Amino acid sequence: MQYRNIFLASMAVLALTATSCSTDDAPAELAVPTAYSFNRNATTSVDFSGQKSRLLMLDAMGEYIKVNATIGVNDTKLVAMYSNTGSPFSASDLNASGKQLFDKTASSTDYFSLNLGGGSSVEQQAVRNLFSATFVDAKNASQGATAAAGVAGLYLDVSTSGTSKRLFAANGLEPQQVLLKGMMGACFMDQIVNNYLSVNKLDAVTTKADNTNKVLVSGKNYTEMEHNWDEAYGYIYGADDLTTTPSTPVYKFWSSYINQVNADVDFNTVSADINLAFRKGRAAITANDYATRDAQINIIKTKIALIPAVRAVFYLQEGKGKLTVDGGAKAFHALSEAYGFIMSLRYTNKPGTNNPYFSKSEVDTMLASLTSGTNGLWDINTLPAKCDAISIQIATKFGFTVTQAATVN
Amino acid sequence: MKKVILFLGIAAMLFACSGESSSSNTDTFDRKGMLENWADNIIIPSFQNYQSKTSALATASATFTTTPTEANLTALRASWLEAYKAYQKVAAFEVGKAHDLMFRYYNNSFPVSVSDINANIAAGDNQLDLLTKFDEQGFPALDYLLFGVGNDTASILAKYTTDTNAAKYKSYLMAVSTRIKSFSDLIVADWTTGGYRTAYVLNNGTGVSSSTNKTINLFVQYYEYYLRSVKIGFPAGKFSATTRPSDVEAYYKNDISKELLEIGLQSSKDFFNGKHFNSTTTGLSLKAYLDYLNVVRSGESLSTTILSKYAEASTSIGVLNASFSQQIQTDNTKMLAAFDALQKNVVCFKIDMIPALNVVIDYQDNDGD
Repeated sequence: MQYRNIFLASMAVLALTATSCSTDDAPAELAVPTAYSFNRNATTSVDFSGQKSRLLMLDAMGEYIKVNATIGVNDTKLVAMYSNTGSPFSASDLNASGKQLFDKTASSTDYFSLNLGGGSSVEQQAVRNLFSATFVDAKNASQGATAAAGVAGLYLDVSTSGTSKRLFAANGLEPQQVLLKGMMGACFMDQIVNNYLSVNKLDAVTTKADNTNKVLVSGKNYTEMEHNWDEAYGYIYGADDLTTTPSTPVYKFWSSYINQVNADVDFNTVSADINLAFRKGRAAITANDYATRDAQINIIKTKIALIPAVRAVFYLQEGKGKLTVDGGAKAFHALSEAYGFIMSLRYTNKPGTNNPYFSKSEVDTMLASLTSGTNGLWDINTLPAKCDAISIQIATKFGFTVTQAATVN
Repeated sequence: MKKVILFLGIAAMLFACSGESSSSNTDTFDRKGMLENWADNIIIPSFQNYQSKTSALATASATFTTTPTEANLTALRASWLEAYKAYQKVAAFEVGKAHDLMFRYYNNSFPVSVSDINANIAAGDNQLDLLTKFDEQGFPALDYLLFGVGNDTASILAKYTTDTNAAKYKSYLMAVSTRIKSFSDLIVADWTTGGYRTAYVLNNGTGVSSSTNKTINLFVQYYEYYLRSVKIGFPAGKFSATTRPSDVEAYYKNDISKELLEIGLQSSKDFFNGKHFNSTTTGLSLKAYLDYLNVVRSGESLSTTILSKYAEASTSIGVLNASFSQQIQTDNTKMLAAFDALQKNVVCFKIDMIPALNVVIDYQDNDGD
C-alpha cells in the first residue's frame, strides 16, 4: 500500500488563481532543456523503465523469429514472451520486469476503456488474437517448406546471397513484420497518444491536483502526471542507446522510423518537432502550465501519426517496384511492413476528435484489399493498382504526395 | 500498484466537475435522510430477505442430509437458488459487520477449488473459517456439491447415499450451508439489535470514512468489479490470454449466470434510484442527490444519462444465453459487448458522479506503468 508524500505548494495554488484571472503580465518564459533531462532536488525525475522493457521485449520476439526461421519457431515460446510468463527472455531483467506486451495491447484509456475512437473489448480481443495468430504463422512457415502461393514457408532472397531469410504465411504476409509493425501501433502508438497523452488520463481529478501541488508518487521523485508524460516519451525513445561503442547509436521502433522519415527533405523537421514537443510539454507540466502542455500534445499526436502514414506509402511503393523479382516474393517483406504500418494508423489520434485519422473500418478495408487476391499477396498482378490506391488514400489524408513519401531524398 | 488517495480539500474544490455543475459549497442535501432511506428501506430489508432465504437453505440442507432423497435434493437445490438470488441483492452492501466478516470473500468466490473441496471431504475437514479456504465454501461450493459432484442427478445423489464418503459429503454440505446462514444472522443482528443502523446514519458527514463515502464507493466498486469484471470480464477473457468459460458464476448449475447478473444489475439500478426493497416507493438516493446538485453532462442531467446506460447494459445482457459459459463458447463477442455496455456507467460513476458528489475513490484499479 502506498502513501503519497505531500509537499503543499502554496505557490502552486497562488499561481493557479493568478492564471485564472487575466493579467497583462507576460508569463515567464518556460525553460526547455536541450535534452530530455529533468531533475528534482538534484536527482532525475524521469523514469520510463517499463516502456524500455516492452520495447526490448518486442525486439526480442522479432529476433527470436528471425534466428529460428530455418530451425523451427516455437509458437508457445512466443506466447510466453508476449505475456512474459515463465521467464521466456534471455535478458533476466526483462523476465523480472513485471511488464508484458499482451495486457498493453489495445488497452489505452481513450480507445479501450472509455471506448472512444470506435474501440471496444471485441476489437481488443481480436487484435490480441491476431498477434497470437502470427506466432502460429511463424511456426508453420519455419518447418522447412519453401514459401509459395498458398504455402507457408521460407523465402531466401538470392540477391542478398541468402543472408536474408524471410518467413511467409500462406498468403505471403511476413508474420514477423505484421507482429513488429502492428504492435508498434496496437501497443506503443495506442499507449502514447490514447493513454499517456490523453487528458482523460493526465487530468484525472487527483492526477491534475497532485501535479499542481507537486504531490509526488510515494517513494518516487515525480508526480503522476510527470511520470505519465515520461511513459509516452519512453514508448518512442525508451530503447534508444546513444552511447554504444563503437559509436553507432541504436534507435528502436518509432524513434528509428521518425529518423527514417526525417531523412527525407520533405519531412525533415518531424524529428525535431516531436522531440521538442516532448521536452516542452514535460517542462510545462512541472511548471503547471497546462495550456502549453496541451499544445504539445496536439503537436505530438499530429506529427507521430505522420510516421506510419509516410512509411506505409513508402513501403507500398517499394513493394510495388519489386514485384517482378522472384515471382513477386521479393516484394512481400516491404508489403508486410506496409501492412503493419497501415494497422498502426488505426491507433493514431487526430487532435480534437477523439478519433484516429483513419477509422478501424477504413483501415480494415485497406488491409483486406492488400491480401484480397487468390492466395493473398501471391496474386501479384492485382497488387500495383491496390498499392497505388491505398497510397493515394493515405497520402491525401495527411496532405503529402505519394512521390514525396516514396523517395527519400 | 495500490494507492491510497488522500483527500485534498482545496484541490478537490478546484478540480471537481470542470465547472459544468453547481459547486458543492452550497450542498445542504439531506445526507442523513438518504442514509436512513438506504438503511431502513433498502439495505436492512434486503439482508432480512437474504436471512430468511439462507435460513430456508440451512433447513433444506438439514432435511436432505437427514433424508437424502431425490425429492429433498430437488428442494435443496431450489432453496440454494432462492438464497443465491437474494445474495445478489445484498452483495453491494459490504459495510459494518459484512465488511468485518469478509462477506463476499467467503460467500461468493468462484471458481471454486474442486480439488480442495474434495480433499476436505475426504479428510472430514469442515473448518471453513481459514482465509485460505475462501474458494472451498459459500454458494459456489454448494453449486459444485449439488450440481457438479456427478454427471447426473442419480450419480450426484449417490455421493450422499451409497458413496464411501457419503457421511462426509453430507457433513461438508451442512457445514457450508450453516456458515452461509450464520453470516446472514450476524449481519442482520448487527444492523437491527446491534446498534449499527444508528451509527451508520449518524456518520453522515463527507469525510473518507463517512457512511455516504463508504456506501458510494461500495456501490461503484460492486458495479465495476463484481458485475462487470467478475461476472463477465474474467470468464470472457477480458483480462487473460484465453477465455475462461468455467469461471462463470454458478458454473455447475450452468444455466443461471445470466439471471444472477441481471438481478445484481437491477439491484444496483434500484439502489441508485433509492427504490425501497420489494416496493415501488422511492426515497432519497444517489439520483436525488445528483439532481439536487443539478449535475449536467453534455446538456443532459447526469442521472438521466446514468439511467439510460443502465438500460443499455440491460439490453446488451438481455441478448446473452442464460448460460454464460455457453455464450462464451458460441459467440464471445456478445459477452465482450456486454462488458463494454456495463463499462459505460463505470465511466459515468467514476469520472462524473464521484467528483460531483465530492467522494473519494478508496478502492484500487490497477493501472501500472
